[in-house]
Amino acid sequence: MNGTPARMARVRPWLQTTLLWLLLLMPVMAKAESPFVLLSDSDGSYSEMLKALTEHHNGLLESEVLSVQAPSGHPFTLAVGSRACEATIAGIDSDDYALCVFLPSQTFADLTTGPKGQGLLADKRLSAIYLDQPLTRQMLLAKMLKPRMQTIGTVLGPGSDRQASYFAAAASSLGLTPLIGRLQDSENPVRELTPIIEQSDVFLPLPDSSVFNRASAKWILYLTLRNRIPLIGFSASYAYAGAVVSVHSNVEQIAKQAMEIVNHRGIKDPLPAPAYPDDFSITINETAARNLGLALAPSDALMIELKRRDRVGQ
Amino acid sequence: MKYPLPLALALALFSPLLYADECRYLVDIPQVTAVSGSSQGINDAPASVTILTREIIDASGARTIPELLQLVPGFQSYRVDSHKWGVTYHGMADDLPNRLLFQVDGRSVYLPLLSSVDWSSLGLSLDDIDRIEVVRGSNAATQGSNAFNGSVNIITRSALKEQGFRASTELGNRGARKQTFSASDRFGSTHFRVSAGYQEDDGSQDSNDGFRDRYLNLQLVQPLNLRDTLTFRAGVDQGYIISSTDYTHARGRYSDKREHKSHHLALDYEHIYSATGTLTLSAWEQSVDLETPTATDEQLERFFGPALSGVDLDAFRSANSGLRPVAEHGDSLIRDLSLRVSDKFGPVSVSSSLGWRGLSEKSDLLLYDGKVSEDQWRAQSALEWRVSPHWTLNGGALVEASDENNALSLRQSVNFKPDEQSVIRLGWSRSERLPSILETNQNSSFYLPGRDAYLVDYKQYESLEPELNQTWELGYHRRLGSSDFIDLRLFREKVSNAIYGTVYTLSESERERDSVINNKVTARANGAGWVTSGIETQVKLQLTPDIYSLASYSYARSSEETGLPTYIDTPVPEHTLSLLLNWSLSENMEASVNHRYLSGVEWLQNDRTFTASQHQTNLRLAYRWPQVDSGLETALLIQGLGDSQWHEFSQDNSYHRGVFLQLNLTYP
Repeated sequence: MNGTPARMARVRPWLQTTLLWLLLLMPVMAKAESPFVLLSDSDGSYSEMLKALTEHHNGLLESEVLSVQAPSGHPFTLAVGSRACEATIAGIDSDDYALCVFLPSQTFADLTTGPKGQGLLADKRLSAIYLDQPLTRQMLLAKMLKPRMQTIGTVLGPGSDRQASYFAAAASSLGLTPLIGRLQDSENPVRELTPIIEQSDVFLPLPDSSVFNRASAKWILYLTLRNRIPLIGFSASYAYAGAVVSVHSNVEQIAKQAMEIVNHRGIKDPLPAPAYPDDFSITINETAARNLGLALAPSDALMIELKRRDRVGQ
Repeated sequence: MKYPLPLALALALFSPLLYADECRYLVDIPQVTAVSGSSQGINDAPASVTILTREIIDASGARTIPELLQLVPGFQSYRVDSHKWGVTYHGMADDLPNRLLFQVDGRSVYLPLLSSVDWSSLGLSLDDIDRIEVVRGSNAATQGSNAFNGSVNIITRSALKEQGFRASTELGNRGARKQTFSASDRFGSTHFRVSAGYQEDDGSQDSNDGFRDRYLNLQLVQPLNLRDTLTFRAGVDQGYIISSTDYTHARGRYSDKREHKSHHLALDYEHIYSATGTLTLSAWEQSVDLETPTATDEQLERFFGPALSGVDLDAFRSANSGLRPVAEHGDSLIRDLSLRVSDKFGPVSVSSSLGWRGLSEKSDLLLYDGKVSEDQWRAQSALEWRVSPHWTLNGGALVEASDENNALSLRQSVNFKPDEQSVIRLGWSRSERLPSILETNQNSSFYLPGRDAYLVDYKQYESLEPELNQTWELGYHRRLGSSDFIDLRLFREKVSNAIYGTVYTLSESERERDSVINNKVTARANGAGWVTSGIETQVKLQLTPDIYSLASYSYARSSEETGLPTYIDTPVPEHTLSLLLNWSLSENMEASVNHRYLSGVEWLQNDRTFTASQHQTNLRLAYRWPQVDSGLETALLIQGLGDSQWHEFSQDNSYHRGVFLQLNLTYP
């Protein structure tokens, strides 16, 4: 028995050292835990997003497509798309975390208006990286195209009506006069759009329902060209279709930003506030620019300048 | 994490996000090509596509649409007369080539009465054109009837795109005068475009085969609401050309005035029924009336020779109304109705249509009974499956049924995109062409009153079947920068069961039954065939900020020829080259040179119709007057800058250098 305290005295420093290392390593071990990825759908953009997330993650990602049998029991869910985010918020446990990506900011705001969503946001257990760009970023780009612009026009459909105040606030913050038209499915697009476009220095369509976007785009493209008004698109597809320029973030840029959060947080670390994508791309339609007599810098140069102005604005 | 049961299903049914998710950002915005000028879609296309943009049209120095098509790799266009053009792809053609589909805003302008296109009665000037889209090769087969070797869609300027007016006037040698005018504006929510034109000249100085033409077109675009749009087009055209018909050696070639009157009406209704789906209902009617004079006594004697000996010419005339030396005579009326649905299901895009076409052809010369009518039905479907960002599969089928024949055309291709700029395409197609109403029903028979018998010049005793074209192609397209590209196509086209002109020997019983005095008649038969293989390329390059070039070259050879006339050695020109160079000399001055080379080719008309290898150069100098805000341009155009005289189609046809002065005004 006499030998025991002496042996303990010899072992104690080793135990203490081991314990200290274990304590030090715990956060690292926690970071290594992978999030569970819930996809809204399995088609092109969602699978591309999963691929990009996997590439930016330190290891494989467990994933599932949202179905009737919804998955459960995941402490940290990375929800890709609006439906996955909605399902995640609806089923989240009291001590779980979730990061929603690849969804519009307005949709995320809608999903979190209830007490549950507000509580999750207050506890910093829910966050998001939006798909869309802040309106000010798009308007700053418009000002780069047409520095002397004074008015900026848009048209709101049934699904984007609530964005009128955001649009007006963003325009006013940059010293622009907002011109906001409204268009319903049953209305004549020429009659509704023409007065707004004729008075606008630059036109900035806002995304609405897919069918509204598709149906209104033809008229917006034609009428802006006819009136020689630069058009800023909200997707690369808009620039290919004829918008002079589009600012948008691709899956790679969003995935990178999401995994930077995932890879650098501990299991119970609070999540950062919801945010727009930091990184973005600019697509120029040179034919459309030429039609309007606009001499644009290359997209890389526009992007650098827009990022600079974006930072100054923030 | 716990999820309430059938959560996803409930969300899908009741979620307010149904119309507020990320799809709104991901939806494909349909390209408004007139605005974007984009060639983005070409890399997913199932065939080699050439787009002649407004910029190219202006720089080309061309004055007619067939001349413009010389810029397309593998295309040949030639003047049969000063104002009668033949356009073909890879040769194998006569004065009325018939294996290409030509459309104006999606309306086929193929004229069944001639089994070809009458370019003089289209009612269109180059100034009316926004762009021309050409699908090279039989992968166009499923685009519609007659797209056997390719298709050409001429897209006119949209009333939606412009406002203001354009006016142009042109003066040139050989009495060339041309005036065109167009105006676009809107009344309320209706956009309209009106265009009109007049032109005339005296033709070649050797043939004096002049022409005159005037036309008026109207386009109205009326949105009914956000998703429904009506587009109405109408046009009339009237004029004449001096046209010729080249018969056999013994009978010779006859030229005379051929008057034309034509009109068209077209109505398109477009309905966007979902985020991906569009329904289009199209109806159109077009009528072409060609009128040639009756033959003189001298022409009759020359044409019929000894067969008319002892025949009272007056009685012969009264018994046969269709005695006309120039064969292009008659009325053609076509009505067409089609319903098309296009949609996208995930990575698969589908476009399907059903259509009916009613043909009514009248000619007292070409159709002995005077009139033939036919109903044609068609069902078409095209599918594009983007398997991955790198791979796209394309498939298409067209089934056509006419009163006498059915035809099935199929195409498949696989596109591999190694990067965003390039595509490698492997394609196979099987294209069938229905015999035209003229080929099936032509009957030029003449009653000889004194002998109570018929002299049959042309009659189809045997029924005709569809022609077949089976094609393999390997294509490569790469975008270089924003508007430059390189396009390559390796091809092997095997045409079989082709229809060719032949001599039919009547049996005694046939002669007795029909009271025919002659025992040999001209007719058509299936059985010709050939293989055409080669390579073609088109390269557009911005050489410097002020100079761009568009080069097109085609090398083609034919082999395994059967059923062609024995005097034909080179029915396909080995080399077809065009080189367009455009140079912005200053902010207001532009020069363009368009050089064309065509190696020797023999046309299938007869042993006197061939084109020796030739070079031809056009030069255009344009100056925009900066003092005129609205846009005033003066241009000098010289056609035939090198050789001042050349032959086309036949050594009888000689053409001379043309010099034209143009004045173009646009407002605003």
